[in-house]
Amino acid sequence: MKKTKPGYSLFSNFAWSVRMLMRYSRTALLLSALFIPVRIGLKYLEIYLPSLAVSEVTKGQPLCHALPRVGLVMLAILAGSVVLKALGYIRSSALGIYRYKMADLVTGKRLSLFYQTYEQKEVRDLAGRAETVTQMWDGVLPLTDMVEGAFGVAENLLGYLLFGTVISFASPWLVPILTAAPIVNLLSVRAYNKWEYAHRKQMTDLDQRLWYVAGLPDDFSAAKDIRIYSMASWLRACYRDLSGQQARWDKALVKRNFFTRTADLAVILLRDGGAYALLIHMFYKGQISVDEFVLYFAAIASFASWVDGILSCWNKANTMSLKLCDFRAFVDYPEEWAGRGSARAEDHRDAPPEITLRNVCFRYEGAREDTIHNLSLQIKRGEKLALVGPTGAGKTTLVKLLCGLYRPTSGEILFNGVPLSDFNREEYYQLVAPVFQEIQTAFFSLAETVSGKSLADTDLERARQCMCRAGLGEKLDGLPDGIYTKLNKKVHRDGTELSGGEAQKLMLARALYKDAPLLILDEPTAALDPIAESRIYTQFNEMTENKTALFISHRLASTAFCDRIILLEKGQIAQEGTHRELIRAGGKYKELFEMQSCWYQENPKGGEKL
Amino acid sequence: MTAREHLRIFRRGAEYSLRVNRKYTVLLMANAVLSSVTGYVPIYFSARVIDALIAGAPVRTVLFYAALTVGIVFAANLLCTYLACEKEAARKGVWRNEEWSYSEKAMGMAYESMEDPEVDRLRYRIRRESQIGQNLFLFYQHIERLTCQAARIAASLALTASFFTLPSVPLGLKLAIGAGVAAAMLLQTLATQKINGLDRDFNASSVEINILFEHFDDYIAHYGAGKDVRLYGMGGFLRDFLLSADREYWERDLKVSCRKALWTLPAAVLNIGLKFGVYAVLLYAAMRGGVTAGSIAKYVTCVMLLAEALVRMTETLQEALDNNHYLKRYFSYFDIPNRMYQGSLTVEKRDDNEYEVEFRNVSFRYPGTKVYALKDVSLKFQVGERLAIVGMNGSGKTTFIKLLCRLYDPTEGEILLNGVNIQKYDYDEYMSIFSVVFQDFSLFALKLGEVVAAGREFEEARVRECLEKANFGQRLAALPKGVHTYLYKSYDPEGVEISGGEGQKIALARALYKDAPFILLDEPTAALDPVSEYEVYSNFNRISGEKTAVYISHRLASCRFCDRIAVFHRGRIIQQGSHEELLADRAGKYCELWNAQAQYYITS
Repeated sequence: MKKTKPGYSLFSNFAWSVRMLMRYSRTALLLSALFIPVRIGLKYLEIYLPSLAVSEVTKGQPLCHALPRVGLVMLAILAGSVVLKALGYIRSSALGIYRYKMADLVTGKRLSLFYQTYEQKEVRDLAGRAETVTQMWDGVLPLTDMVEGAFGVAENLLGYLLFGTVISFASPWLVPILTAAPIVNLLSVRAYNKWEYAHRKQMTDLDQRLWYVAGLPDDFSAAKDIRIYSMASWLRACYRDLSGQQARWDKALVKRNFFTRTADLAVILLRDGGAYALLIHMFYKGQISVDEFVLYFAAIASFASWVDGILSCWNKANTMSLKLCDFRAFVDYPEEWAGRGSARAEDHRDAPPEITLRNVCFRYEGAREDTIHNLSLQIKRGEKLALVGPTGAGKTTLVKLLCGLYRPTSGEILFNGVPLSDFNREEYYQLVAPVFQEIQTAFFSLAETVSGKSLADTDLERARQCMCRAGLGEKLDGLPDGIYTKLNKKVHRDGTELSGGEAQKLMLARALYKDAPLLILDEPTAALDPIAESRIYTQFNEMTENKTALFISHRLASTAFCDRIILLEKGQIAQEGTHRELIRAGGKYKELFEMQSCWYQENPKGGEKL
Repeated sequence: MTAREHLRIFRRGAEYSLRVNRKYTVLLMANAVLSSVTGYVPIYFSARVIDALIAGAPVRTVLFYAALTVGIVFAANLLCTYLACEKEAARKGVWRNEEWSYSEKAMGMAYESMEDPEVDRLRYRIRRESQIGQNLFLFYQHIERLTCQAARIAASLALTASFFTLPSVPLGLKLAIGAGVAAAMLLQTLATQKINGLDRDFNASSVEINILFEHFDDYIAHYGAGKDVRLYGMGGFLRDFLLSADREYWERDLKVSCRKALWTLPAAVLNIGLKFGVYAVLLYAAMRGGVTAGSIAKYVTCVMLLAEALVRMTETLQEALDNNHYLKRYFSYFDIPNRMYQGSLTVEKRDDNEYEVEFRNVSFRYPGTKVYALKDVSLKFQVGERLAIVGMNGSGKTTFIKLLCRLYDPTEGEILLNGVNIQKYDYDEYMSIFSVVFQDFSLFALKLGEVVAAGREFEEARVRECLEKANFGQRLAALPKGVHTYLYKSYDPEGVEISGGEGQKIALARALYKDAPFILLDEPTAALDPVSEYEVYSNFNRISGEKTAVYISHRLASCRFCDRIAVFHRGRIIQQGSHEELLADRAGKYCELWNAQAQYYITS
């Protein structure tokens, strides 16, 4: 196992947390700071009160002398506890506000990080972990617990110093006795943490697997398969197995933890025993009075709590700090490719572009072979290009490269002669309108889904037109709220669900709405019925007017209205030309086309095999 | 909620905690008692020490008391630690069981309920409530707290009993202290009630927004959404959307917090007043020599602890009553009936595969909709026949399959297997005669062999054979660990990524492995390239063998291999017949569909 060092130290994380609190929730910071002296003061008053009572009684003071003094102390206690309790509610709300504003940083990064980077599993995992830092789970919320832990250390340290001073008035010997103990404590806790850290990866791996399996039945799309194939017993067995493994880890952890705590308790036994013996000794020597004995006695008992507090808060801060490292590592994840920004997308928006690929290679991280290999290609201004080829030929990778989601491993892509890296990355996205194979819609209104903007920023009329052009006119007429209808019935009671075909049309409408000069359609008809498919084909020219377009499909019918066809095989161009040229030339394309079209002929040749 | 209902839920919770997680519950209670009582040891002994010091007792006596304090505390803490550690391990086990119980429920409940947004809402809500510490986990906490408080009350009473028998304190003062304790308890109870009410209202009014939050996270985390968000510049919109939802939520939360803060004030004042009163009485008694100086602290502490324990106890009981609302909802989810109709008939196993299925005037509406997805459909499957189902998007094809597989029950009419209504059969038995590849099939990131066999155990040779039949043979040969390779990377980082087309082949292999008499394929070639598509078509007969096969596809080429074609339109079957017969009807829907597609392939 590779041992990785946390990216940020505890102190750095604390300083950072304070800075972030300054920025996002000063109230929370202020209250956290205010609570420190209040808590310490309260603790002191609590131990002072009995000593005061003993002193008044043993000195034989009258009631009128004792009561005002006791009353005054109690008023102070009242004030302190009211501050803690009432403002505690306010503080937890303030921390909630801090939490969501910080969560926004993760969301923002998730939505903007260079896609090629973001697609890597480690980065996505990191993003997942960063997100859990902002979420409450099993009573733990690392983001704010880190702050609590760090402030707790400060508070307990301060308490330790103050109480230590009080105790040292009794005997300077007490302080070393009382302080030596926690060092043993610290060592035993450290040994435990070290062990836990060394096995952390195994445990989190197991945890992830457990979560994965537990989540499967929850996945709605798997529900049909689970029923038809009676998978319940299989998944149950998987979960039981993992759960058993985890229980064994729990046992091991518990055992370690118990030994650690036993060492602590033994030290506490020695410490308290020693301190009491000393105090009793001093009393009999006449060095302290009874009420002082009571005060010191109580101070020693609570002195332990300061030391424990320092340690437990330190541990908490440390544990949370490790998690916070994930948060910061993700939020600060270096942008590999922001683009130079020397070219402006504005200047290229209005005319169909010319796209040039120059010796482009692309290899996935960790792969042994290029997915796209030394590919050179010129797409002319306004050209309609069809890209065909078997599964795994690199079509989708090529689309991602053209979209600027990936960057070539070597070689160059030029947009109107300008290298893509000259554009600001985000700005370049404005120039491409892709329709991808996989479809993922959220729960916004149809209008918002089409525009990718809020309703206020959406050109409703245009959104409606684009939906009609994509073949959703009839659907739209059938919805009482029309274009305002929200998607996802699970989120919105009055929402609607789209079928696969409708969702695909909606994605097409979105591309039309964007009206970018480069249109890329990746299998846009896979889920459509023949009539809808045919309609898309016939409208293709109208849709791509004044645009350069790339059409990817397994349906070779679609290639007929493209100006040129590229047959991609193993990341390279195997054939190119018009449909007619390629058919005439014979070879792979002709073979593929015949395979698909034979079933539509009067007497299918393939049928002979039946 | 009525008292009877409260009682019923309490009983159910108690049963659950004692039956399912007995070990955890016992550890919880033992630890609670011991740790509460341990706190009283120093209180008791320190009074003895102080009195001994004041009385000028021999140093040995004082040392003995001190040693006893330290020793007892050590032993008790050691035991507490042991119990706490064991309890923690048990707690994790309870969490895991709890987590899985949702999964069990999801697998066991009727598909119809699974698809019901209201059920989904309920599930979201109770999961969320569990996460914020309501439901069952709060129930355990209540057990723990009530045990703690009962132990504290007993210990406090034991230590303060002597105070109430003191002759030097007038009865009136004793009663006043008792009344003070009662008043503090009442006021605190009222305040807690208010505060809990505020919380409950807040949670109830946040259900919708929490569902939204959850779906938002799911969307953001989804693989495919990443591209869309970037290329369509949706980042700003999404962030603003979430921020404004968050802002709205937390502003409400802050308002509630302010009101809660106000409610803490009166109780705090009364509490301190009570403490002052107790001090005053004790000082008065001490000065008249009725109480020792050392006992003042002991009595004050114990009276305050008593008051606190009483308050906490009523608070906990209230909270428990409150939690019953949550528990009721929680149990209601798990009480959703699992299957629609529990038939008991077994499906006769027949070697000749003579299973006759018939749709008789079947109509179906999705729950909560007014439009019929299927209307008056009658169809009889011939044994060993290959049937194609075609039609436009939304014509009812997939619904038809769902009814056939008994994922839904017909609204009207009936479906018969060998002449008997399918609802009369045992569910799993009925399912055993179908192999289905759905359009939106899903494959788990587990071992390939297990995925194909849909179970833990698999026959390696047969898995391989089915994968080869489904045209996955070449890829299989290239897999590092063959059928023992994990799919995707979610479970095993060493797993292999597979494309949509390859996934479809594996799903097909899974259907073949099951070897059921009926095989249903819903768009099995949508994600395949022409070569694979050609292979599937060419092998269609070999794949379906002697089985009855139903084939849904937008690729009408597939109809050519089928004996019969049923054309669906707006939930009805409008045409039936062979390819040639249907094509002959120039005005028919089939002809229209066919021509729409074929025109691009008919080369001159």
